[in-house]
Amino acid sequence: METSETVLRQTAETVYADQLAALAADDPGPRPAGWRLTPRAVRRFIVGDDTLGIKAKFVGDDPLVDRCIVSLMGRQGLMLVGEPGTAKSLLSELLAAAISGRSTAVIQGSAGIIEDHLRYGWNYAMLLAEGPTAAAMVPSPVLTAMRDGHLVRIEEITRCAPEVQDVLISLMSEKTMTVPELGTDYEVRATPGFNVIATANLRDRGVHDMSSALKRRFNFETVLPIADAGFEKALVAQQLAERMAEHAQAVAPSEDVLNVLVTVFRDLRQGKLEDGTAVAAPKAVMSTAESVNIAHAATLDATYLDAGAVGGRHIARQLQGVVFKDDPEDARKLASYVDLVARDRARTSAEWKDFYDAAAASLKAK
Amino acid sequence: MTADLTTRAAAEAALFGTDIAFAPIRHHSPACAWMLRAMIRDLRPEVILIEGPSDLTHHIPLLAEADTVPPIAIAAMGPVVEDRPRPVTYYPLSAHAPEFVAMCDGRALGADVRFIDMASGARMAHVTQTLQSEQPFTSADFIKQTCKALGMRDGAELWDHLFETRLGQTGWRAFFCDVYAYCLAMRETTDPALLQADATLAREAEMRRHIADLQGRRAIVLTGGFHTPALFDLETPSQAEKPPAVDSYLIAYGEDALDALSGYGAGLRYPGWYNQAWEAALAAGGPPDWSALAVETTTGFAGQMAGDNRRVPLPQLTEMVAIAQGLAQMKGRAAVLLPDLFDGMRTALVKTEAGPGEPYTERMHAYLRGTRLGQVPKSAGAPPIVADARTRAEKHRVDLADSSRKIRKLDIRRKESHRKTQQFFYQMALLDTGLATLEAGPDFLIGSRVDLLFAEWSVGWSPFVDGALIKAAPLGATVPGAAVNMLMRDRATLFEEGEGASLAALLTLVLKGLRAGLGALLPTLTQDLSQAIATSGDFNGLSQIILRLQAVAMPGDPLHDPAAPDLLSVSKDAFDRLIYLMGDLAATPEEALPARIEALHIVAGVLRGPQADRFDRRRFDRAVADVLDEADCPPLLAGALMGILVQAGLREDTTLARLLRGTLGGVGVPPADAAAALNGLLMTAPTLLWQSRRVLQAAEDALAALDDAAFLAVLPALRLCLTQLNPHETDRLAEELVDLLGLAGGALRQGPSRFSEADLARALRIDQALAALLKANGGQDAQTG
Repeated sequence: METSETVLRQTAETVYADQLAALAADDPGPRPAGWRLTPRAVRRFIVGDDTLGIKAKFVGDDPLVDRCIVSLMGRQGLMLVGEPGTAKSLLSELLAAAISGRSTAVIQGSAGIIEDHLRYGWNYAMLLAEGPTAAAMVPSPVLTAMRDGHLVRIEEITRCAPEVQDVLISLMSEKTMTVPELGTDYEVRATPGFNVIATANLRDRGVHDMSSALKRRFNFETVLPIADAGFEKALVAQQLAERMAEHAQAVAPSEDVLNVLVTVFRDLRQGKLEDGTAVAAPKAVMSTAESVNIAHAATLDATYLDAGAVGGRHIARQLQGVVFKDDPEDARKLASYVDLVARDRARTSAEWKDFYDAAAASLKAK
Repeated sequence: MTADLTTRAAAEAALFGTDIAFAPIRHHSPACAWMLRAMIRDLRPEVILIEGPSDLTHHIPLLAEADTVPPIAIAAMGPVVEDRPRPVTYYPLSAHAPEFVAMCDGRALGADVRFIDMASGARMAHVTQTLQSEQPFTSADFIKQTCKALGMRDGAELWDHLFETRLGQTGWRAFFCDVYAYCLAMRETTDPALLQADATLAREAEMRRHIADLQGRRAIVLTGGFHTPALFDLETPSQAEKPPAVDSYLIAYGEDALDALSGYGAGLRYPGWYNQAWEAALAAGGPPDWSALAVETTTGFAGQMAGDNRRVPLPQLTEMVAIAQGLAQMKGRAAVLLPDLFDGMRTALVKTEAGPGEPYTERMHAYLRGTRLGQVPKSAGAPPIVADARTRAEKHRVDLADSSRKIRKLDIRRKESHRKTQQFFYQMALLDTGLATLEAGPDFLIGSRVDLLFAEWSVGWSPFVDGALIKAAPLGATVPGAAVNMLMRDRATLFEEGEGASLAALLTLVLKGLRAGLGALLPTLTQDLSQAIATSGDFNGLSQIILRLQAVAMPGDPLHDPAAPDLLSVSKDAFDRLIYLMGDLAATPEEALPARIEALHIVAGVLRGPQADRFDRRRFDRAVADVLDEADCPPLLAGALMGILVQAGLREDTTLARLLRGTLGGVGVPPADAAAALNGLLMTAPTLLWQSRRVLQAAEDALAALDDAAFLAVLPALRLCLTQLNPHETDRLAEELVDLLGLAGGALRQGPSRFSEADLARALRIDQALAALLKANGGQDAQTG
């Protein structure tokens, strides 16, 4: 059994084991074959349920969660798309944990993925010794999921080469995988409960397009950046606290500092301020995940290098390095934001002033 | 949660306990309408009181007539207040509106059906545009909390989930008790200050007054559920203040206007879809087959998409229905509702990131909204202009039953009927009805691209066309009549603003009238124009009148109207006036010269055109020659006029050559003056430069004779005047020059440079020094080089 002392991060079904048990304990009603919980219980697990004391794990778009659950009940796969850092993987993990009771059947997509990772490989020692037998075959997570009837997750599918993506096409429509090495009739047919959740990034550079044949086999759901500023702030604070758990001496950023961070990100992400004034939006992805990275780095900076509480200046110092990596144009956009918006706000808020002074200084240094 | 707001028994007693039964409803709700029918059937009331402006009660018999086709609206227009647009409010009714059902069923029963809300005239002071507000249904705290508890996304879904799912069922008592409890909770969680601010309290007092008037007769009081809790205590009847009088008419309304999204109507969104549900319930005589309805909606939507050349594959359609049904099931309802359909569409059809750019969502909105238009009963007294406009629109093949906009391509030069249609569109445009807008085609007002054969219009009859017509009703009984009066109103404004002598403004009005086919009705305007011409000193205005009106006077022109006043004579008046004014041309101040030369250029063009024989061109030529012969004729003008005369063949090109040689090679003249004649020539007759070798030779000789210093002095002015040529003309001139100078093609460009790098460096230094000097002297943006 994994414990928090031995691993950095545990699976959803381990972390929320008690909640899943509580839901399963009182979960009458029909459920799709192969599902551990009823669709409604899955929904409660993800969007929260006050009566069972289950906190919302994915907030801001309940209808999206509904659609995902219903999609997975059918024969179509589920494709979660959206900007980086919008919690697509989190959602897919939660769905797998609730529906199949295991979120570990996962393929982490990359340029290095080959067909075998989606189909099966061989234990070469046995292969040489015995020839191709079922025992010598090493099934992929997809094949296991088909056989055992649970969900399989494919992360970052657009990072896989198109020919690898193509493996999924007939697999998803036939729900069958043939193994010609074991004989012409040898095939594995998916049992109820099997389906695929894929996540994809359609915007980043270096990703592959999906063929329309593959697209047809998936229902697409767009995961949007968090709409509510208050919730985004709470989420950043929570995730930061998780990351900083091992640094006991660190002081959590104050409300005002988080405000500065989240506001900067929201302004630049949306290309406009709360009051509707337009600002130039940088090309860099201003996701919530990135803002957690910044908060994390800023807190480390403040704790170990500055020996104090996190201030606007720490945020400002990290902003450039963490977010604005690629495009020199982005730096100019940030500079104009700092010069126009942050300076204005610095007049009325101490944290903004702290942010502005540091940002202006570091931008000037360049 | 503290104590319950009400109980079933308390609600039933309050609603149905006395002779006066209350029906709390939501406007345009099919389920409410369904339950209300049963209620009326069971209770057989003598009186039905409806939340609607009391001064519009007289429309009820008409609304209940058999040939009324909803959606339909009562448009009420407030008093005319100086300088302000007349306020118009709409009271829209759909086929599935409980109010509409009450009117029809109540009248059929012989009940007295009346409106009891604050009179529309009095209410306009508080709100405009719409008379039924639905805001609490989405914004009350109670709604937000309940949504969260039941997993609904918003007030609209919550309402549908709780109430519209009961469409076609029995048990109206329980239904209205539930609506009552729902609305009561909503009211309790709405800010009381809002009720005061939007006159809700005053309106409810008015409703109570009417209820108190019932005097024991059996009645049903039909109001928005939000008001019901405030109506139980009876108000002592008192004499209400007499509200301001309003003019009101029935107008055909449209489904897209009913949709709250469009910002006008009130009530449920997507009336097209709810109407489908309502009709399905009527056909079934009970609950509609929701699954069948979902399939019907989906295929209907796919049909529309196919019409837009975006075919939706069948497997995706099936998936869309399956997802919608799955979502409904997960939320624990048998009915597949709108949010389910939208979600199904989004999940099954959108194969990329959702957001702007995907083609489905907007079309789905539009499809569910519907585009059907209602019909006013024949016996309803609409202002005559509405009937007139409808007849004309039908004649011009405008679809009166569908409000979606369509493109019409009109062959305005060759087909008389198309020209008439365009004229009708322009008449409607004068009345600001929004019936049709020109997408592409000639602009007769500014005279651009008037030679185009086709005009493309985007046309769609919407309820607001009716509304605008009713607004325009005081202007006349027919569309052309009202349109002319609108022009006359513009004319009056012009005179009030002291612009009554402005040729351009008057010409615009005349042209507006002509393009709307109102020629026969324009004598006043043409007289105005003649009068203004008689005293005008506006060269440009006169030349425009000559140009435009002589064209219009020619049969075959799209604006030609045989019934119009004699426009040619107006044009001739302008011609006479122009020649008269030319007497002083030589004394024109320098800054006004280019504009006047342009005017003369235009007239000279007309005199070369197909209508030339209508004008006495010798007078013009003589006037031009006279000016030219004057001793103080400025060189710019001289060049321009000479160009006109030479082009007309009245002077030899040698004269022009002499003029150019004289001015360009002038001794002691300022450089700008030296180039002026050439400049003037380029304004009126640039082609002469390459058509007549003598002219070009003269210019070349004069320039070649200049020493370097003199040439450099005149160079900026020369460059400036040559910029008038367009690239094609520049090319043509260059060709001619190459030929004249005996240079082989390209020799001009390819010859070895006479300048060395050192020269370049020196020039740059001088340039910088100059720039610095200019800057020091305060020239901010001075350009050098």
